[in-house]
Amino acid sequence: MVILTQKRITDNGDGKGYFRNCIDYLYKEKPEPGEELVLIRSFGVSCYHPKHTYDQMLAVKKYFGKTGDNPVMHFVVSFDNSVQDADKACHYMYRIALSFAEDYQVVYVVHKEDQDGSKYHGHIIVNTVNYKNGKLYHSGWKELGDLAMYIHEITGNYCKPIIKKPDEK
Amino acid sequence: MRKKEDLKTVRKTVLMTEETANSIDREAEERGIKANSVMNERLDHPERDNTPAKMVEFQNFANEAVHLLAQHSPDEAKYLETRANKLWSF
Repeated sequence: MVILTQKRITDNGDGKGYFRNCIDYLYKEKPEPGEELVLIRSFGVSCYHPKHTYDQMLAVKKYFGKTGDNPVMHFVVSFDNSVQDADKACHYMYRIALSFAEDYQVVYVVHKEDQDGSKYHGHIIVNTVNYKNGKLYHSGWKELGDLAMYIHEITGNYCKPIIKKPDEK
Repeated sequence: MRKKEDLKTVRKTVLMTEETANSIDREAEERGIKANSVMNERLDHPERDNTPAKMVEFQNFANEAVHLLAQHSPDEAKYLETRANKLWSF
């Protein structure tokens, strides 16, 4: 079973905080003990420098005058033990991230970490401001359910959606 | 919540040609947004050559180029990425 977790951010204060921390986290080679970065990629935004990623997402927010709303959507996809190699995990994460790329800037990573039978998991950070029309991404159970269904389709495994607060383990 | 300075609270009556009004309505319909948003965007960004949608497309090319170049010349790839980032302005 694949676990899809959405970290829900409700207040970002001055537009930095969680938004900037999230992006910095993606670039860490060893985010946690026993965990290592396998891949970092993006659509519509740089994936080579954390400040550039942050600035380019913020530029889109500023263009549409939406710097104060929920800054980013943070999804974590934990693959089950059917995903045993990095190539497969990277391919799945590419397809999941691509599903946002038509309307939103997105940066994603693949991490390797042995955890409860899961060897790989990925993080996806999506700019909540649509780069075509400035509309905010609507983050509800329906959208999360649709994403879980899509992950089920591409992986062939049931995907369980969960919503958590940013600091909730 | 939106920031206080982002809130659209001032109401102005503006006279425009029928052609301009039609153009605003058409763009709003095509992009699935309100005519008010189109008008604000045109006022805030009168030089509309550079839009987020264009920059996103450009950045996808830049990412691909940096990725390919990094395999042969990491320093040049870094330089290219920095130059690409500098173009991010509206």
